Amino acid sequence: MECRELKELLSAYADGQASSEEQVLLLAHLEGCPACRRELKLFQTMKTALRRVCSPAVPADLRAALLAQAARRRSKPTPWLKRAPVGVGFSLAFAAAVLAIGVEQFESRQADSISVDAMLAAHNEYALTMPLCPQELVLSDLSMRLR
Amino acid sequence: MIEKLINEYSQQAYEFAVHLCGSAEEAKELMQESFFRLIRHWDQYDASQPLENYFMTVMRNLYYDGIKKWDRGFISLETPVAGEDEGSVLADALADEDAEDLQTALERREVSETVRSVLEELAPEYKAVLIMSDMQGLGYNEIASVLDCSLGTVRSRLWRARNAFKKKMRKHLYYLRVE
Repeated sequence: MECRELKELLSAYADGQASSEEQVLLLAHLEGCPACRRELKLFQTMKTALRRVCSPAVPADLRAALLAQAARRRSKPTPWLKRAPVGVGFSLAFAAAVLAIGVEQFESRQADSISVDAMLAAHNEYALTMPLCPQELVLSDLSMRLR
Repeated sequence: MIEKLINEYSQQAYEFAVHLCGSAEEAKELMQESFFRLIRHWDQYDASQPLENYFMTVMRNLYYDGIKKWDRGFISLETPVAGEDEGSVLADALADEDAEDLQTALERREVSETVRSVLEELAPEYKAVLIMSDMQGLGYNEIASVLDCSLGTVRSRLWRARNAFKKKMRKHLYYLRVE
């Protein structure tokens, strides 16, 4: 196998990511190829050099800001309705509308029944002021109308 | 879960951001913006994937989206080969005679600053794989998960990244010697 075909494998080998078959193939090649041995050594040294580059620690204010943002998210109520499927949302909206109409109807009936009671009471009150014979009332009323 | 991410993985994420952006200030901004996006689009997170990997994916995507803002030494992602070959005439001319020098230079501890500068000059895709693999010690599976690509892509990209790094490093050493 030619060096050119093994370059990518050299890099993977340096990372410890070559399969066992690939390792056998590569090691056999490396035995007789000083150029590839040099290349492998260079890749390994490169990895070490990169690992040595200093990485700064996370600034305390950044960590605090992220934790505060996470806390804000936790304190918000879960928007579960947003996540519910469209069908569920529609059914809930429909049920709410039916309930609202029902309540309104019930209230208006309540209002009607109050006015009927009031009317009956007024009627009874009025009846007490009238003469005892209803015919007289009817006749007098009729005669008044005819006049 | 999110608190755990901050407490246990913010250092790793910050290192990734710092080396990607090349500056602490911009890394901070990138981290905060990525975190904001993570929370805002929480429903897009697939819980079968480790959260720290997903966060790095968000960060990497955001970095690529805003690349002009975060990376002043940007080399087009569309032409990674051109980026890799930048300065290659000089690098190749120096390759044979400098092979030992490069090895020796990389072994020296004082070369760290040059290594960092070379890393910063690399194309973003190369930079990202080298940071994750060589600086943070992530395996190919984790890198593939962050980059959302195959293991084969990780492997070939790392090889190309190392070649690009090698060429730029040679160029730096040459100029250091000339000066």
